[in-house]
Amino acid sequence: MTTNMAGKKGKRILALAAVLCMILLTGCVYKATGSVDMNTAVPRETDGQKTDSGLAAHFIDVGQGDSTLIEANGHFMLVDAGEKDQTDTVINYLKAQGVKKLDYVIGTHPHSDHIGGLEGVIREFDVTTVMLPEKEHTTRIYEGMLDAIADKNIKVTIPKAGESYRLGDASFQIISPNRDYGDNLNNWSIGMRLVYGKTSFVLCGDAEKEAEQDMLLSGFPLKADVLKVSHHGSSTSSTPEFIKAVSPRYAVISCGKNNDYGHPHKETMDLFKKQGFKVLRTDQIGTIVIESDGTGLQILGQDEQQENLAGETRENETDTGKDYIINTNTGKFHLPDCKLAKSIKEENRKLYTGTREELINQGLEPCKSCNP
Amino acid sequence: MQYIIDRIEQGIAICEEESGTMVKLPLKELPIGSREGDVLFKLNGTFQFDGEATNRRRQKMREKLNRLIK
Repeated sequence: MTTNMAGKKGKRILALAAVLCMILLTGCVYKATGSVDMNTAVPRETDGQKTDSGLAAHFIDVGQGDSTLIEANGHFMLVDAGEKDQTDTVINYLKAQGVKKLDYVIGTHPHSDHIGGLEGVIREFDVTTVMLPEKEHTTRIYEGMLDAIADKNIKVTIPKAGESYRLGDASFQIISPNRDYGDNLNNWSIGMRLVYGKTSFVLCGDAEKEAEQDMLLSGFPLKADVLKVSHHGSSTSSTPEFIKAVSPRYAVISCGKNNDYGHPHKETMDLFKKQGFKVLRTDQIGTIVIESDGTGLQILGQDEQQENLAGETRENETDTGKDYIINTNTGKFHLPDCKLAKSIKEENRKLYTGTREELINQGLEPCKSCNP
Repeated sequence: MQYIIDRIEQGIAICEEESGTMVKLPLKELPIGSREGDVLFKLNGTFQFDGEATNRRRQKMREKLNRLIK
């Protein structure tokens, strides 16, 4: 017994020494804060209530904004809640998923398109832990969220880069923010890499290139199967270096239809296309649910074909749309200059002026050759 | 009427009115050097920066956040 205890103590000292060496070697002082809250780092018992196995990431369609619900073995985490006018959308979605208690509520950064709905969510559900970056904002929306946290007697956790937390059988490591970003609120975004079995997800709010650069320098693992694309696909995020480090199979973009900012930006979409990532967009397919069984991923309600549709970059598509040729016989649509479109029999050939989306909504299929 | 700049995207300032309504204003109509978090007011049809109100709110929110931190 005594030797066993001494052995344990020895191991602890060794572990501590190893950590100290790492800190000294990397010279990254902030990593020292990654001493990890051991209470949260230890897998929590689920009281045998494992009614639901596996992990699901729900990228909720909140228009122009972000809101992601992560469910792991009956435990829930909400990352952002869209604009304030999306509060009911988020609350109703969570209720439909059977959420009563949220283990974590994360407001990645204080912009209204991320935290707008959090006041309502915090007031509606039992919340164990609220995580926010250590950066204030001046808006009433921000104040409303803080007041809701105070009213419910919840304390705010400021997660430090390097720390790890558990959610059911999943765990997530904080990978950002790595330093003080002054008044750039986007760069203050709480970033995480969520791991469930062999599958992983990276979500970094609206982190821009400076924060991405710091994540690359931090040495934290960034490779993931799914990337929640930062800042709604804006070109101020998603540097080629960061994207390559994550190399996701699926890039999820949460943005509003015909938004005023041109999100996602063409440069970003071109980059994803070049890298061969499959892009899934909430403005095109609504709420996106990705399930993991720990070894593989499944996109709910999306067959392979629809996935491919969502992945195509659509340029020059305006509100009024452009010309397409429909084959009323096959139910496919083509670009006017497509070889296959030219061979369509006159009686089956129909000219349509509008958007690609309208055609898909009508149940028509894009031609695989010209990829309209 | 008071406006608070929530964020600036692509030359558009997304501002919060006192009522809580979010409005989009062209950045070029706002005082030069406008930043996220700035409190503005409209006087004779032009937007003016209210430095005192900005500092006051920033400090108040910082204190509220600090009181909540574990």
